Parts: sequence; C-alpha cells; structure tokens
Amino acid sequence: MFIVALKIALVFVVFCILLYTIRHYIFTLNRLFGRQRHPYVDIETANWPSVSVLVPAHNEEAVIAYSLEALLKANYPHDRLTILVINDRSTDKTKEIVDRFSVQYPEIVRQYHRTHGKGGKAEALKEAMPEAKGDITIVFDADYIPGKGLLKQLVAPFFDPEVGSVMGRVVPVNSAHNLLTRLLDLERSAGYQVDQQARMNMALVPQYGGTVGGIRRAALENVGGWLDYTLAEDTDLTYRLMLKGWKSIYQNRSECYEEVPETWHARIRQLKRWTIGHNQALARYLGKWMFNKNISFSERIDGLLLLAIYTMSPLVILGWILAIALFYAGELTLVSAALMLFAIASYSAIGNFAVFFEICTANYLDASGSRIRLLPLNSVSFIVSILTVTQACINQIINCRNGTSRWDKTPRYRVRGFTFS
Amino acid sequence: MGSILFITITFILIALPLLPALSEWLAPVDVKPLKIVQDFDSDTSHFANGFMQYLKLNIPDFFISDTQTVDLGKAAGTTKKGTFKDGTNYIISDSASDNTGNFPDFQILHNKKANKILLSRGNLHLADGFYFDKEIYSLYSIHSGKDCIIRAALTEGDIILEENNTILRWIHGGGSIFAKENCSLLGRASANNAITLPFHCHFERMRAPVIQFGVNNNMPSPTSPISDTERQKLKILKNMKEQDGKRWLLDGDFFVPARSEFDGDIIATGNIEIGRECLIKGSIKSNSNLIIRENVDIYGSVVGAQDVEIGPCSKISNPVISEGTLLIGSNVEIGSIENQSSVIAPVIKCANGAKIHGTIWAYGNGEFIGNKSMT
Repeated sequence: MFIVALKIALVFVVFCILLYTIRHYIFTLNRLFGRQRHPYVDIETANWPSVSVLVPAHNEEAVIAYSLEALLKANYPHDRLTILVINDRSTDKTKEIVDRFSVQYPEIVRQYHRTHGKGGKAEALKEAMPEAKGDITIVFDADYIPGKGLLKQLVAPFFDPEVGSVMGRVVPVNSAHNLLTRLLDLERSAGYQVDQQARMNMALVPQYGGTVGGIRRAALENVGGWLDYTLAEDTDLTYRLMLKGWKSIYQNRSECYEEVPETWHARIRQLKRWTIGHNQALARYLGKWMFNKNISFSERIDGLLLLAIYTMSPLVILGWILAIALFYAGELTLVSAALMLFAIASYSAIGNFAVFFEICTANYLDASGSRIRLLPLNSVSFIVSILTVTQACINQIINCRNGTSRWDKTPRYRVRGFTFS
Repeated sequence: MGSILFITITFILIALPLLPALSEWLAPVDVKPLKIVQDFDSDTSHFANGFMQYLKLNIPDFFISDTQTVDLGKAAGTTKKGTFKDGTNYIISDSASDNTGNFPDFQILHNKKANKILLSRGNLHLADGFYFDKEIYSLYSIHSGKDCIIRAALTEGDIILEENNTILRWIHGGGSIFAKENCSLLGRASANNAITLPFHCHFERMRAPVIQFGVNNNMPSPTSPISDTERQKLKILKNMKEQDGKRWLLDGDFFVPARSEFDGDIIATGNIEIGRECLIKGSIKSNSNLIIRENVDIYGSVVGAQDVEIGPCSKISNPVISEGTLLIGSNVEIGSIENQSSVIAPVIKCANGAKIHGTIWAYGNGEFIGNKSMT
C-alpha cells in the first residue's frame, strides 16, 4: 500500500513537470512564430491623464538622484505629472537628496516621509497612496532609470477601459559585475522577453511586477488598495484585479534598467521573499480563481500554473527522492524508472524560472551575442534556486501559524562606469 | 595507470561542452547590458529630428542666416558638391527656386537614381521619375515631380507630392504636406500643420494637428442631429458581470439601442454594436468586433480586440485602437486640435472626409478608400 502511494505521488510529480514543460514550449513557440501583440505602445498623441509616479525609497542614497533626474527628463506633460518619493524610514542621506529635488522642482517632485510603521514596499505604498492624486499610479523602484518616453508608454494602455495594470520590461544594468549577475541577466531576458510577452500575445495572465508598471487608481480602489500583509504585492494585485474583471497588460518595448543582486546571499534572500509572497497569493486566491466568472478558461489554467510555480521546487526534489527510493526498493522496472528519471532530469535541465530553451529564444529575439555561451552554467543558478525555494516553502509551512513575515530589502549597487545612452 | 587515464578522459569529455561557457565566463566578450535607447520617445518625427541633428553637426554653415552666406539670386542649376565626414556625398543648391532636372550631376544619370543627399536653401522642385536614394532637405519647400521615389524628405515649409510618389522611410514638413492621387507614404509622415491625402493613397504612420482624407478640408466637425433630451438613458442589462460605478462589464455580445446615452465605460467579452446617434460619455471596449453606427459621439476611447467600424459623421475624442481592421467612415472626426488623439490598427481604411487630429498608425497597411462602400 505504501509503495502504491509512493508510485502515485511520483506519477503526480511527473505529470506536473510535464504540464509546466508543455507550458514553456507553448510560450516559446508563440514568441517565435505567433502573432505579437503590442496594441498600445505606439500611442503618441492623446489627452494624457494625470499621473503620480511613486518611488518607494529605503536607504537609497546611492541611486535615488539618478532615478529622479531620469524621471524629470520624461516627455510626459509636466502639468499632469507628480513624482512622489516615499522616504521609507531611511537612515542615510536619501531624505536630503530628495529634499534638494523637491525644492528645485516644487511643482513636480514631492516627498512623503515614513518615520515609523511596518517595513516593506506594500506598506509604504499603502500609506502614501492618499497623497497620490493622479488617475494613474506608476511605481518605480529607486534604482530604476526610466527612458524619456517610458511614462507615456506605460500610461498608454490605460486608454483601454478594461486595463487595470501595466507592466514593462526590466533589464539588468549591472549584468557585467560577476557570474551571478550574468546568469540573472539571461534569466530575466527569458522571463520577460518570452514568458510575459507570450502571455500578452495569448491574452493570458501577464503578471504585474510591482515596478516599471502602472495601476489605474479606480481599479486599485475597486480591489481594496494595497495590502500590507503580503510580501509579493505585485502578484497579489495581479490576481485581485483579474478577479474583479480588470486586465493586466505587459509591454515588452517599455524597457527600463534595474539592478539585480550581486551576491548569492542577496539573491537567496530575494528568492525566499518571492517564494513566501507568491505562496501567500496561492493560498489566498486559488479557490476564488478557479470559480470566478470573470476569468476565461485559458486565463484560469495559466493563472493556476503561475500561482503554483513556487511549489514546483519542492515537488521536483520530492520526485528525485521518490524515484530513487522506488528504484532501490525494486518497485520500478528499469524502463519506467528511466522514464521517470528522464522526466525529472529534463525538468532539472530545463529549469523552473528560466527554461533553457526560453533563454535561447530570448537571446535570439534580443539579438544578443555570445552571452548565450553561459547557458550551461545556469545549472548552478537552478540548483541554488530549487534548494532555496524548497527551504522557503518548508519554513513557510512550519511558520504558517504565527502568520508573520519579514521584509528583506534587496541591496543596491551603483553601477560603475556605465553610462545611459 | 589505466584508471587515471580513464578518469582523465572521462573528465575531459564531461568538461568539453562546458568550454564555451567557461571561456565566456573567464574572458567575457558579450557582457554589456542590453541596449535601451534612453532618448527614444515614440515621436513620429524621430528620424527627421535625427537627420536635422546630423546636418547641423556635419554642415553647420548651411544653417547660418541667408544674408551672410547665401546668394539666392544664383541661376538655377548652380550647385556645390561635397562629402561629409562619414563619406556621404551631398549637393547644395543655393538658388531661390530650382529644379533637380537642372542639376548637372542629375542630367548625366541614366538610371535616374540620385544617390547624394540633396540640400536646398530655396524652394526645391524634384524632377519627374527620379529615385532619390538619399535624404532631401529644403529650407523653404519641396515640390516633387510625378512618379518619384523618395527615401526621406525634410523641409521647414510645405511639401507637395505629385501623383504616384512613394516615400520609403520618412517625410516631415514644417508646414503642411499635400499629396496627390496614388501616393504611398510608407514609414513616417509628419507635419506641423496638416497632411492631406486624396483618393487611392496609402499610408503607414502619420502625425499632424489635422490629417484630412479627401481634398475638401473645410468640412465642419460632425454635430449630432438630435438634442440630448431626445436620448434615452441606457438601462442595466441581464448579461452584466460586474458593475462598479460607471464601469459596466458585460458577458457576451452587447447592443446599445439607437439614441441612447450612457455616462461611463462599457466593456464586453463579445461583440458590441452602438446604435446611431448615441452619446457615450466614457470609453468602449469589445473583446471581439465593434460597430459604431452613424452620428455617434464618444467622449472616451474606442478599443476593439478584433475589427472596428466607425460609422459616418461620428465623433470620438480619445484614442481608437483596433487589433484587426479599422474602418473609419466618411466625415468621422477623431480628436480635436486642442486634444489630439491617436488611431492605431494593423489595417486602417478611411473614407472621404475623415479627419484625424494627432496620429494615425497603420502598422500593416493604411488606405484611403474614398467613397467606396465601407464593407
């Protein structure tokens, strides 16, 4: 009986793996051969709505000035633009730098100072939201350097009354720093260039990413505003909006530089935070998602797979253990064991967050050069990811009773010697 | 000894596929961040602006005041030649008015293919049937000949394109652009005042305060033939999925009866048809086909996931976006001089009298169909 249960569990794991593999193949083929949708990005002239750009900043002295300078160069009508810097309990010179800008540009740059309260971006956004008066709210992290036309591009989709949120593409600016940043550069390319744009093409569930993105104020109010008890407010918001009949839009051509973690320690902390936040959304919305009248069948399937993505790491490890245990127990024939192991090994090879053939496709679409040679080394990143996510999932289950979670800020690094063209 | 050899060979075989990766890691070749053009701003006249910067960088004397350097009384056909630093050849005409047919360089061209940048300080006329393979710039105006192919043209004044002209890349007029029949404006066309297209013209991306389809651009803006009191308020429908204030989300197809009025946004998962003489004080979104009948006034935007048809004499104040074919009926007005708008679809067909204020962008094909039937 026990052995039968193990076999059923293994079959389930393999089924899940194959499901995700098929999903990634569909996305990749769509990007290579399907119809590409960019319906809003070229809106050039319009009666542009008022916009509040929110820049949450916690100890951002190294980067905040660059970000504000770039925002002030935007070609968005300045009489409809407010930049609201949320100084979130900074202890460095962030406040002084922002003060300087708000004195110099009093009509555009304003600041909101948080001196106490819970940490975290969602909490900061929630607290400062009443100060953001614009019809559209755009959120940028403090290390982001938006281009001149990016604000218009991000606002353009909101002329569609069904659109609740918009997400642009982030591009690592510090990719040259070390092996980790180069691997993350490949991974990010696949995630945005292939996964997100394929979801957009197929009218599935492009994910609002929390930064380089915008939210319609009316939609945010409609779904209850920012929640401060989640670690992944972006995922959370994506699902809340769709449950209420608002769409999320991804715009691959709305690109912006960001910094990626430069140390494995920072990367691991970031992954843990994403895992916990994403799993919170899974627990919160799975039931509603499966039975909501506003969700189409294809959206339902894609949204389910997106919600469950971080549960795949522990499942894969479980699959390894089950397959090996059953093989040595003599309960798997050589052929079936080989098939099972092949499926799991395939998954291990193709990865989870950035499937290897998706990385190749993204590299091709970006017309990148020889960085694709690093592809085999992405196995390192994969191993770290799968172990980190599994550990985070286990900790989350163990700690679920106390219901607390801690916000870990990703460190900032000023890019050395890079000039924005 | 055998074991060591075996282990060594095995290790080499395993490491072999990793060699390119190790090489790129230890001696990086492609390490810079992916290129993002920070100054990109979606401006239709982006390339024209770039060309102007190029000229000012390469030939600044050309832009010095006429009275200092220019003898506009020079005889027609008097030209100067030169080469920019990047090796590109150019010809300058200083005459107040000149025709490229008079240029000595052009008279010897057997294939009528002009491959030099053409700069003029006066009004420039282009000879019939030429292929201008390089950019053209005039400080005053450009008047093309018939059957010309022009790569790109920029002027501070007006541009007149005679019959059967083709613009390959871009064109920008500081004044207006007047095209004649059978012209194709491929790439980008922009003007500071107006662009006028007659029948059988094709276009891709155009931007101007007034883009007029048909030569009669004195048509008044469409006005509703009925008063507001003659309209009925739209009632709540059975297939309502969500209703949040002024936003209606509807399941399936939706028909708005003629002479209805609604203050809010309408979104349907299926087709939408707006009856004639309706007033919608919000935006419309159909996830399938969208038909707007005649004399409809929409204050917001119009978005269709598939085909969109806008009936005659309708008025739309905000952007119109279709992911299929967009048919713009006769005397339709989109946007206004004060609040310019955008019209975007893969295929756009415009009828006589349609007027767009702002940008129109047919990324597949745009066509002026005259008075032909919309369907």
